[in-house]
Amino acid sequence: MACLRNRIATILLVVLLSPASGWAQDETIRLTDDRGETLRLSEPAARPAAISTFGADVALALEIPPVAVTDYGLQGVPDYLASRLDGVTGLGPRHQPNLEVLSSVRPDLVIAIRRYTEKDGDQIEAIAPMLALDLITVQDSLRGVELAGQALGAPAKASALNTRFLDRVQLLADRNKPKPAETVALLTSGSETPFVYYDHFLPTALLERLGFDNVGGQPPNPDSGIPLGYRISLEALLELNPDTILLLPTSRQRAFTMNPIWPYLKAVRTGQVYEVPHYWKEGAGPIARERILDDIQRLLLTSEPDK
Amino acid sequence: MNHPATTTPRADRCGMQIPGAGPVARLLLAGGLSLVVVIVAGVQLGAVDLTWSQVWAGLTGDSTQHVQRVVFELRLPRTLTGALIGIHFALSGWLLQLLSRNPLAEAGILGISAGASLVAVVAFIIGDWLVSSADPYNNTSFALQYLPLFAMAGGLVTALAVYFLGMRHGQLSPVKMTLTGAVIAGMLHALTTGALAFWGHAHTELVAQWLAGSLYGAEWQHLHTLLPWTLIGLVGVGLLVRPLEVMQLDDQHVRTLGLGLNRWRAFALLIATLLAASAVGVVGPVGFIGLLIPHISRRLAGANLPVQLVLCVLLGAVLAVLADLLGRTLFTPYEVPVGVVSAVLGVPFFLYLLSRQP
Amino acid sequence: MTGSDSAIRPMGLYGATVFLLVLLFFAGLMAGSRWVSPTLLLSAIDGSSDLLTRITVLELRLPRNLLGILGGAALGVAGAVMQGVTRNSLASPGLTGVIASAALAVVSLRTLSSPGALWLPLMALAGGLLGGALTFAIAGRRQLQPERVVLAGIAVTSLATALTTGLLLVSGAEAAELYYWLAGSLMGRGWLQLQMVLPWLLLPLGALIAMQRPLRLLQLDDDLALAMGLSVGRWRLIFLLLALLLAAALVAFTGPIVFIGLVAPHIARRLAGNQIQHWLPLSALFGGLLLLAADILARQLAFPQELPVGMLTALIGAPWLIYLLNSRTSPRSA
Repeated sequence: MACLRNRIATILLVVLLSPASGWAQDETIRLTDDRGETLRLSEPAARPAAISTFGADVALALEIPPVAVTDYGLQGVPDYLASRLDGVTGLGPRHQPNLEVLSSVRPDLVIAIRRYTEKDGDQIEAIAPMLALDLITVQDSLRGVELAGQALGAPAKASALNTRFLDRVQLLADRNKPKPAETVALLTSGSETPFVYYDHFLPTALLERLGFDNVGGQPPNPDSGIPLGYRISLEALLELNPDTILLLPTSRQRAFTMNPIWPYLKAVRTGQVYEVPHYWKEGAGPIARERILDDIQRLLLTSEPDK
Repeated sequence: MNHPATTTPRADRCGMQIPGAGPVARLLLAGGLSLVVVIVAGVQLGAVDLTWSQVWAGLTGDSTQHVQRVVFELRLPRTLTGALIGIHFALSGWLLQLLSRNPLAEAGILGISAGASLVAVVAFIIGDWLVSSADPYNNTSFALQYLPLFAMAGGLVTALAVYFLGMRHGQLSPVKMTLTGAVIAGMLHALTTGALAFWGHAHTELVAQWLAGSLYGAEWQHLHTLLPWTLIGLVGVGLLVRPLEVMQLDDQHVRTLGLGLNRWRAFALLIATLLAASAVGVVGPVGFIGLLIPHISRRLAGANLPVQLVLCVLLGAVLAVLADLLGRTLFTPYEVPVGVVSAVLGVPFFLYLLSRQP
Repeated sequence: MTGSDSAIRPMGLYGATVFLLVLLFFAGLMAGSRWVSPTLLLSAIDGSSDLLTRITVLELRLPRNLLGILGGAALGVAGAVMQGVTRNSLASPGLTGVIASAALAVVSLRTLSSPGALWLPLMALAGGLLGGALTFAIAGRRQLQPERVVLAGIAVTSLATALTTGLLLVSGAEAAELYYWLAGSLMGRGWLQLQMVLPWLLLPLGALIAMQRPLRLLQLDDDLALAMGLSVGRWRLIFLLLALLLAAALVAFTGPIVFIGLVAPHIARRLAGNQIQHWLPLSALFGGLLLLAADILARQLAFPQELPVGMLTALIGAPWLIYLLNSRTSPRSA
């Protein structure tokens, strides 16, 4: 009798205590994404779908190929990942991922950009748990990589990616420190109505960390990542007169020829205008952000003796 | 404009007689059949290929999760919602064309689409700010959850403004209402574009998708939101058939018959507005259904108002479902919104109208 | 209505309007992200100021103000001509679908290819022509009742807008830039844009001045004009084409700006009364005035950013029109 009672007691004890302490074999991965939602994965995801460039980027960086990705419509998948995304199912644009196709690829995780998937989030979540990320600032990128790493079962690799990235930023910053701070502007285009990015946006934040001074300034609402920037009046741009101008690609060829103040800008006269590739706009992924650092290093940090 | 039915019965034109089936019955039958066919196609066809048996299994709940989801959670509610909004827009356009005695009228002239669009854009923008203000972890913002309701309210308020400003000497003047509606719609449209351009940089495409009139992401919840309005609308329209027939006579006759003309007009406007605003709230502005379908139903049914009504219901649903179907199957995985497809279908319609000018 | 206000003496009217225009012009030179005082303004013109001020005034504000006046005048004249020859006080580039179709043409060009700047006015013109033609054809050639034209115009505008939105959905990352253009703006329009648009605006204006007589006859009465030997149909077409040219060319450079083509002629007719020879010039002046005023507001209200001027012309124009609709007994012109 005592044996049975002990056994029952043990079983009861274990049953009662297990939720509190967690089974030794409980592998449930719990993640809180940028919406504040908690995802529960019973095991690491092996079939991630990406509704955003970041998802594809981080999955490839962690060497777990995504099963489906979104693209830019007529412009297709991002160039810098295109060769590695051969044969991956296309979902359509990131603001309208095709739910039927998404369902057909049977993903077990969706890595999404939050501000485009908010409206239809519950439909996507009916297909697979969704990790919705802001992906605007450097912190967003670091956290996103961490979360993705945990979700995909490669937390150590993800942390390593983050550490390596931060170390590299620090190295470049130290190398650049002795130089006087140059002002820089990141514009969507050189056309008549340029849009300039605030300091918190990932590429401009990196520039700031590396010792440059972004003319976009602090965002009006530091708690929110939105808006990303503002449409700067040409008079203001002329006054700010940045030393360097970085232009994102646009469909309008030589749009800057239509800009009346273009010839008067310091950056233009000294030849410090550079076109940067499209991944600067969506640079939160581990591959993209390293490339952004490559670009910054190549374009802005090659020290010239008589500068 | 209404022409009295001068066409010969369809049976004679086709050169054969079907005993017992009048032309009207056959029209309605054809319409009903097309609706069934189109709905079935809407469930059967899509971005992912499914066989007949799979679809059947999905409907009866007897299949894989993926098929079940595609058929029952994605295609079926979307198709049915499409049918409903088609009915809404077609009936709304029909009522407005009858009321204003002008074949080019539809809900857009009352500023409903424009008002709803502005409120929707504001909701998307404010959604950002509300999220950012106090609690950084605010799930799907309040503004987006109630988007259909807000947009519908925006449409209703605008329509109300147009009515009140469209009154002349205390009476509704169709001409003045049309002009006022055009001006207000133009103003709201400019404000909407400006607001989106100025504040909406972070997710322009998402808002643009709503503004194009899209059934993407339609689920059962949308259907449940819409259905009460459909019923109200159908009942209202049913009540209106007799008064509308009378209203087709010129005003002199009507007055001698002692009909409360203004009250019925106001009621008809109310129903048209409710139908259009509720539909716009759920899918965004889809203008052309309300323009095209009443024309087609008038051509087919002649001056017979009850038949026109039924045809509007049937054909409106058919057009909406068909437009949506085309939009989501032509360029898989991309989708062309139903508003754009129906606009593209509107082009040959305009050309047809051109050829009909005296 | 036309004779109810005692017609104001034209000289006084012109004088007052031109005075206001000049005032606003200088206000526009002084206002902006930094206030340029009159003395600073003078020094900028004679070259003795710092580079920043000189560029701001001479490269940015001066051409922009000029474009505002000219563009507004073009829209006002386009509206006046359309209203005059169709004898429909509601005809205007906006309400007849011309502006929306021109915008659609430009957006499709920019979405589907990378155009050189010279193609834009041509495409806009083609689009505007198609849209306007469609509207008038649908409305019916015989009795051009005002409401029918408006309704047809709304339908064509909705069509153009729906197609434009559809195009924007496939333009991917360009969507935000295109939307800003679609909201209408004079931002960043300098000497280059002014030079490019000038022939498109001045030539039709010149042609209209040269063809004043047929224009005035058409505004009166078809039968009278026929009696005077005018081939009514052909002249009407020519004038409509010229009006379309003015509106569409402007759209190519500034994006769609609505309501000026509708409001300016109305104000002109109200103030000039029966003297139809003054309608066109006054519409031009008031159009210029309106657009310039709206642009100055657009620069200042959302400092340091700029609001799209299309929002402001809508906010100014629409209430005015509603007031007009409510204060007249009939929407039809004389």
